[in-house]
Amino acid sequence: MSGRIFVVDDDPAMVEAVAAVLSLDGFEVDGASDGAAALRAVLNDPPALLVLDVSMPGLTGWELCEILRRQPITRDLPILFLTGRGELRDRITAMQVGGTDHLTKPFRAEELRARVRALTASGARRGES
Amino acid sequence: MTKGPRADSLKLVAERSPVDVPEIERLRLESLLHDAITGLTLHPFADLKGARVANLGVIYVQLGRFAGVESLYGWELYDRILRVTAASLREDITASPLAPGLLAMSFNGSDGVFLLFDVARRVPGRRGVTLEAEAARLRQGVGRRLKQALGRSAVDLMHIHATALVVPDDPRVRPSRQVMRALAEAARLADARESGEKKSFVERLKALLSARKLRAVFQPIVGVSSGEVLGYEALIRGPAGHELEMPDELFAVAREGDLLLELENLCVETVFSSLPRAARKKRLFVNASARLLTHSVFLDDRNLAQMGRVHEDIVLELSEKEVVFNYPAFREVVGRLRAAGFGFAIDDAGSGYSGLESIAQLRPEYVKVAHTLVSGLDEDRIKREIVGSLAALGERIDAELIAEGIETRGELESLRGLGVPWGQGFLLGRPAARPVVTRPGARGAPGDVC
Repeated sequence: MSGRIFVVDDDPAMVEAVAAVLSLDGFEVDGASDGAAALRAVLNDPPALLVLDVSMPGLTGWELCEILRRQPITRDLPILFLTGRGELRDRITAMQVGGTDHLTKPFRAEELRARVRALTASGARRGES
Repeated sequence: MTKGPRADSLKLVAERSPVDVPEIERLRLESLLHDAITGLTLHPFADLKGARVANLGVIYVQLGRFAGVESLYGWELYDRILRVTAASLREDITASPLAPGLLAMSFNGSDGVFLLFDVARRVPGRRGVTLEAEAARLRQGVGRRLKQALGRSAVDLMHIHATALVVPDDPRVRPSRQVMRALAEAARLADARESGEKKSFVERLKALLSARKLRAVFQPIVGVSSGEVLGYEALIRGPAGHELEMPDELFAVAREGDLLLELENLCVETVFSSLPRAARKKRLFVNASARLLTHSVFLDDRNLAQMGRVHEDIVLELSEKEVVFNYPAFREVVGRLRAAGFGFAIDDAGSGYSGLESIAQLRPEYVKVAHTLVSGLDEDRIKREIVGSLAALGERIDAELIAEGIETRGELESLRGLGVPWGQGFLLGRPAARPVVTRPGARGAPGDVC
C-alpha cells in the first residue's frame, strides 16, 4: 500500500497525528494548516486522497472542496472530511459540497486507516452516479 | 514544530500561504459566480460584457415552484432536475435559428434559466421564427428530457414555464439596467402564468375531494434478512392516470390550496375503509401529520375507538420534516394517542431537517430511514455513515429501523451489513391494493409481482 495523502487541518498537531497514523500503512503524507495553502498545493500536484478539516480560518473545508470539484484535475479526487462537526446536517453538507467520506473527531486510528485504505483503493472509479 | 516519531514522511506546506493570493481569489470568485450544478453563470453580465443591443430578446425558462417541491423530493433529486434542465437547454439552443445571437445563458440561482439574445442575429433565411416559438420548443425539450431521465411521478410536479419578450434599446437607459429590468419582467410573466396554473390544480383537487375519489394501496415492510413481514404501510393515490395520482402531487396542491386537513381526513377514511386481508393481520403503518393528530376531529374518543375496532395494531408515521416535538401541546397529544394504543414511527429520518435529538424526544417504536439516504448507499460512504449513526440512535432509544425505498440488491446487502432490521421498497414489494411480498433471494425478478 502506498501513495501520497494530503492532510489539511488548522491544528498542526492534528496534521501530524493523522500523518503518524497513515504512515503505518506506508502512505507518504503532506500537510497544510490553512485552506489557501492546501488549495495551491493540491492543484499543483494532486494527491491520491485529501483529508480535510471543515472549520478553518480563511477558506473553509467546504469551500475548498467545492472549488476542487470544479477543477478538472481534482474533480474525482477522493476527499475525506475529518472534522469535529458530527451533526447530521454537517454530514449532509459534506455530501452536498462533493465530499467522498466523513469521519468525526475524535477518531479511532483503526477506523481512519480502514477508511483511507478503502478510499485509496476505490478512488479511481468513483464518479457521479 | 516537532515531528512525531512516526511522521518522518510529513512535509508541512507553509502554514500561511504568502503567495498566489490573486489565483485563489479568482477560484473563489469563480465558484461564487458559476453554479456548480448547472454549470451556468449566476449573473448574466458574466457573459454579456456590457454589449448594447438594438433588440434584446429574453427567454426565461422556470421550473414550477409548487410549495415544498424541493423539500418533498430532497436536494439530490432537485440537483438532477437542474442538471437535466441545463443540459437540455444547451443542446436545444445549438440547433436553434436564434443560436448565432445567443449572448448569455445564466441561472437565477434557484429555479430559472435566462437566455439572452440579439434577435437580429440568426441563421440566415430563418426570419420567421419567433422568440415565443423558440421558448415553447425549449420548454418542451426540458419536459421531455426530465421525463426520460427521472420518470413520471417526479416530473409531474415540475411545471415548466417559458416566457419570451423583446426589449428595444433605449439610449437614455443604461444597458445594464435595461437588461436587469427585462429579466425581472420575464420572471414576472412566468410567475403570473404559474399562479394561474396552480389555481386550476387546486380546483381539480377540490373536485377529487368532494367526489371522494381517493384510493389506498399497501406496501409490505419486510425483514431485511428474515423476509418476515412486519406490517404494511398504507399509501394514498388519486385516480389512476389523473394528474394528481401520486401523493406528493396531492399534498403539494393541497398545501397550495390550504386543503391539507381535508385531504388528510379523507386519506385516513379511505385507508380504513379498504383494508385488504393481508394488512388486517399485520401491523398497519398510517401517515399522519402533527396537524391532523392535534385536530379535535381526529382526537375525538369515538374516532379513536372506531379506528381501534377496524385495526388493533396501528403505527402512526410522522415525518421528521414537519414535526415540532418541542411543543408541550403536541407531547400531550402523543401521550393521549399512546394511551389509546397507537404506536409511532418517525418518517423520512435523516432527510436533514431536524437533528437526531428531536427524534429521540418522541421515543418512537420505529425510525424510517429516508429513501434519499437508502438510494445508492452501497456506493456512497457518507450515506452509510449517516444510516450507521441512525442505527446507533435507534439502539439507544430502543427504536427499530426501517429503510425506505430499497430498489436494488446492493442496497439491501449494505443495509444488512449495517444491521438495519426492516426494509421497504420496490425490491421487497410494490404498493398495491392487494400487496404481494417479493423475496429477493427467490426466483423471479423483483419487478414482476405488482
